[in-house]
Amino acid sequence: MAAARAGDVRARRVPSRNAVIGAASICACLLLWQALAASGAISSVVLPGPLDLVGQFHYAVGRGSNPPYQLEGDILRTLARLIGGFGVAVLFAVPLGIAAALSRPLALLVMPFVSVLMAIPALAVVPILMLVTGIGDATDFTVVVVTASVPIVVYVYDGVRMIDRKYFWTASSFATSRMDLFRHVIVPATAVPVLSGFRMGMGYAWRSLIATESLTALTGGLGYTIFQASQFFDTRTIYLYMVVIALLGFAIESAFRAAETKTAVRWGTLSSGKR
Amino acid sequence: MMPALATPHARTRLTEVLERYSSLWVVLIACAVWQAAVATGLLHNPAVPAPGAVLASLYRGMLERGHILLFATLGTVLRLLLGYAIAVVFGGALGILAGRHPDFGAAVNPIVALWIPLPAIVTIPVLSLWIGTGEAVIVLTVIFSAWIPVYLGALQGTRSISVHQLWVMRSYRASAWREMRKVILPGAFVNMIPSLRVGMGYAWRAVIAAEIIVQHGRGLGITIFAARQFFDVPTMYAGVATIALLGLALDHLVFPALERVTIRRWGLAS
Repeated sequence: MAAARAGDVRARRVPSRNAVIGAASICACLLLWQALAASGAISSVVLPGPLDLVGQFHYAVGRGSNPPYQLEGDILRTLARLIGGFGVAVLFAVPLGIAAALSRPLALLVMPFVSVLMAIPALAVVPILMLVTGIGDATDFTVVVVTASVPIVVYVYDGVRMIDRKYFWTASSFATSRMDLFRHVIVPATAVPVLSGFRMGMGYAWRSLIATESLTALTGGLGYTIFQASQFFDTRTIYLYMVVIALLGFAIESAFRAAETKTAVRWGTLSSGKR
Repeated sequence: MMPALATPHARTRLTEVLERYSSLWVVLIACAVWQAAVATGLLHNPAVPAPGAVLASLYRGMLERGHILLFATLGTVLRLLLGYAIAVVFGGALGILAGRHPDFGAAVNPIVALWIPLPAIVTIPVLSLWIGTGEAVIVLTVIFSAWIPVYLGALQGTRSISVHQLWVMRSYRASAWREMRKVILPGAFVNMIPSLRVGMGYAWRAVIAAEIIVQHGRGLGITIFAARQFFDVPTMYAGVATIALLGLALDHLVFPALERVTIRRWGLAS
């Protein structure tokens, strides 16, 4: 125990070789970018440097931008659509996946549509969706719900179906109640695949939402503003928003991955938590 | 021979056939219900045409009216294959390099980690600053999207090659090229088939999204969006149906076939 704690402290004090190389590599990229931008070899309209983007960031989060607090507003709008749609998708897709895994007729009815939806990129349906739901929040919201639901249904369905029979046998030989069976067998056994489904669903929804916003959202959002900036040749906004979208996506992805790994460690099924 | 149908054997074969093509049945029945709903006037919405009208539009687009849909399909498939091929070569080479040289991997991985959640279409505004709007933007978007899973797969694949195989090559003083060709490439490839599939899925999404946003040349995404301008709703549905069929074919025909061929050619890694 003491040795493990000592190891932890050392690991915190001395970052691993890989972490050092990784950090150096990111710094080198930023320096190279700044040097390239500062050298004047490429017009600053086409390639603003990282320092220009810091300035642009200060402008976009401030009262002076048009509209005021543009960046915060866009992030909030995009996140509201994403989280709202994802919440609905979870409420809808998890029960559907469990029910389809437990009932064969329902699986025969539902899964074909799921695999068809899997094969169609969300953006292909957006032009049609815009005819039905109009140009606005309803379309973005629908796209998030549908794109997030499909992987969640698939992962929940597979997760429940792949529970080892022996767990049920063991539970029944201890005369486990149905509630305990759910709490101590089904939830731990499916937690990791379900969380993977959430992560996949969130990833798909995130990508589709940014793309859809560029076509539909009249009321702003990260995807809307970056393509709007492209129309007006507002390069700094384009680069700034690209960085913001990358970092935000990275944060969301990391949060889901951390939850997945933590759950996998907790219930001792690490196999799908690594990578 | 009528009683034969009633034997358990015949019944299992019948259910087997029914279940095997269950997807097809369910989708066909859903289309029939949809058609009936439109025909009886129950579903009356200009944005939702009958499947019959969509089918007619699909037929005309493919075989008549200047083969609009046919050329669009060809354009999309060509962009997809070109972008995917470049992504596989680039991502695969980088992944093998990172797998063979851990320090290089450590330098590339954080950049990849930042790139993964970046929606590929976000690169379109930047690309259009650099090279304008055109064919290259769509193909580059596909590459940017598809190379990531291929890279990750090649990295894992290269790392999971057994050291013993490399030792055998070394004891026979095999050249580096021979080692690459006989051990590393097959080993990485067999292990990365699932990621090649994921990469194709990403490429497929990216090509359609990029076509819809860039609107250049001929392609399914372009046709769908153009049809919207003329409120030619059946053509929009026909475009989506073509996309669905192509996507399903990729998922259920092309990649299973590729897997079978690869496993037969090189055997399973384990």
